[in-house]
Amino acid sequence: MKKRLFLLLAISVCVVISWIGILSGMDNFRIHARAISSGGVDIQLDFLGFKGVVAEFKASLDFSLGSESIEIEPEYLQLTAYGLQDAYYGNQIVNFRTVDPKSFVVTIGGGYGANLKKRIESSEAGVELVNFTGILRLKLRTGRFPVEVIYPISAQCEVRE
Amino acid sequence: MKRFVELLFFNVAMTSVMTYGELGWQFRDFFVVYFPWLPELMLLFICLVAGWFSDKLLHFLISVVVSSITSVVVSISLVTMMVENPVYSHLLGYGVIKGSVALAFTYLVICSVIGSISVLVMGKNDRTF
Repeated sequence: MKKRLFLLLAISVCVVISWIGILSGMDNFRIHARAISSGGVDIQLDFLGFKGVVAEFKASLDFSLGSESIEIEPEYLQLTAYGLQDAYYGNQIVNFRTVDPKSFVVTIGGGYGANLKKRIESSEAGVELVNFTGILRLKLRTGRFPVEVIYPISAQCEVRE
Repeated sequence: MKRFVELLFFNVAMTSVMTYGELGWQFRDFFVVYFPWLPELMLLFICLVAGWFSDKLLHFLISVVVSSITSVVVSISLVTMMVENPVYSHLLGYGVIKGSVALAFTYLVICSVIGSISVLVMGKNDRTF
């Protein structure tokens, strides 16, 4: 009977240790999460020029996630390009396992590139405003397992001949 | 009644330790003090004792399944509550759900094996329903 009580007491101690750990850890997590959720990811896009019918844009990602102690691993960026009057310029996926998120190139090529070029040539101002929207998937390495987060991304860029 | 209370006690204990392990593996950096493998060791200890005290293997296994499901619910609820921002908690929740489910499944398998051995060797293992 005494042995039984001792074992149940030992299990109760395990429960108390667990909850002390959980509550203190989650309190820290709340502070970090608040910092991260108040931050964001910005994308900077600059038009480089046309190479044939391929429009090239220099892009870079800027992370401001509030807490520097969290390691950020960008996974991929999925962008959709469109212009005014429902002009669709296709979408593109940039894989950051092979590309540097601080400097990479986004392209609008093929039929979409030709269409964009044609629109610029036919417009009076010779300018087309291209909107980019999409998602950035990244991993926040906070512990042994990374936490996957998706941030919405949007940017605008003027394209000139 | 006594049997039910005892199972409930083990259930609460296993849920607590599993939640500690699930959150610990994913958010270790946030824990003020975190000893590696401490939740797993505590879980093994609880399984051995719970198996020893269990009258039926089926009851023990049901208890382990319920504990692992509850631990996932508790860990996700805690993370969601702590994050506060609903958009971010939704995005983060996706990652936490995957991590917690994977860990809970691992714990379920380990506890079932260790606990079953404990029930069969040390417990009464009453085969009647």
